[in-house]
Amino acid sequence: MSLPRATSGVIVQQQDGAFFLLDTEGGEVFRVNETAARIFELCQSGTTLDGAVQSLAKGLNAVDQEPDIRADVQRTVEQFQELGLCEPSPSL
Amino acid sequence: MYTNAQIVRVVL
Repeated sequence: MSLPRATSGVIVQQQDGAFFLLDTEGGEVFRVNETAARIFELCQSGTTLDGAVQSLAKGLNAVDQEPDIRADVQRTVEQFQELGLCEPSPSL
Repeated sequence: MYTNAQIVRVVL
């Protein structure tokens, strides 16, 4: 199953080592860490949950942490949806 | 090492 799609108008911006999600339509700004920024970018690309977990695990050299990563991705995308940063979708 | 995602509503 795919991750929920990112809401249009929300962009990722990196500035001086910090990551921000900017809602250019709603005017809200969220400061996020690199993990959250990566997960949001995966939502933008329409990646599947499995693909996102594998991508994060490989990218961060944490293949042995896949169960924890999966749980964190699910929690994070639900938070994105609550904040209006991702479109609503059926529960993962 | 994986670090859990963190989101904080807000900067420079």
